[in-house]
Amino acid sequence: MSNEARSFTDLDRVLHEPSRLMIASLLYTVEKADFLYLLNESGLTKGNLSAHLSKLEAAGYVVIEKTFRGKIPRTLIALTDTGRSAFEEYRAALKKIVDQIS
Amino acid sequence: MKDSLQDAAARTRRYWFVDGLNEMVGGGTILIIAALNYFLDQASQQPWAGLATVVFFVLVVGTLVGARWLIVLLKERITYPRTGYVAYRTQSAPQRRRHSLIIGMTAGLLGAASAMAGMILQANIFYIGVGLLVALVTLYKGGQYGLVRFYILAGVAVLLGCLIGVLNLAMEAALLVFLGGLAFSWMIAGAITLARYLRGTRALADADSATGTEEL
Repeated sequence: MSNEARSFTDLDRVLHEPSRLMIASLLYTVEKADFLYLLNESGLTKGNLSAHLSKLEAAGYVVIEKTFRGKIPRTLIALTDTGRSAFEEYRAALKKIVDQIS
Repeated sequence: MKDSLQDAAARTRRYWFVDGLNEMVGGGTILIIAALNYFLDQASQQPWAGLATVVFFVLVVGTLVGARWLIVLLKERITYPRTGYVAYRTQSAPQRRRHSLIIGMTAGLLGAASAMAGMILQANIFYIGVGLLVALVTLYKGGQYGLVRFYILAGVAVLLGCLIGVLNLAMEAALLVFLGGLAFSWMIAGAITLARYLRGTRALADADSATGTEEL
């Protein structure tokens, strides 16, 4: 397998999905955000967002915390250190591939 | 994808300014500080001028702390139920100390330079310079967060400086006109942004919010 082809297969499969990559990029610049913010910014449906967050949580990339704002439940989502590193590595790997192609 | 990722990150950074509350409260803060400064100036000839200076600084610090508290309170009531909550990353202790030191030194240098320039220059020339300085800081913030309305506010700061230059006001009156004009322009910009934000969003009912959390 050529180096270029290996670069493609080395990409993080969890983050390679566009919706999950969008969620990770939204969370990367903040400490945490709630479900409603991610819902608004990502444009995903509640079900879709929940499913992607579950996959990110299973990979150890996000941590999900349930709290209350008064009597209203609030779900806070934060990128873990592992998730932050994975996102940085994914970006670097993607840049390397683009550089190799161009 | 790169553009879309950068756009997502930029949108999140800009989110703090999405509702115009910062400008509204910031404008109010400038107005209060201008009024306090006016009263301090009136008290400068009184025997209790020293005490007035101490009270002035306590009230200014209280106003700044209160402004921050008010923004957070308003966001809790208006913004977070509509478009969600975001907590920004806080700096580490060494970063915070370094940041505070740089801001303190810059503010001190600018304050000393302004005081010297105020003694040397006439009010009309001085406030043209102050207007340009405020405009530069506002332009930088506008560029940093991609906020077009900050470019307009920078233009207002320059116009206010030039207006004072043309009117040839005394130093105390010039300060009131400059800070008052700046405060009102910020409050108007904030109010327009807030009105647009409220028109474009709706507060989710408790049930809707709960559904969002239950699905996880």
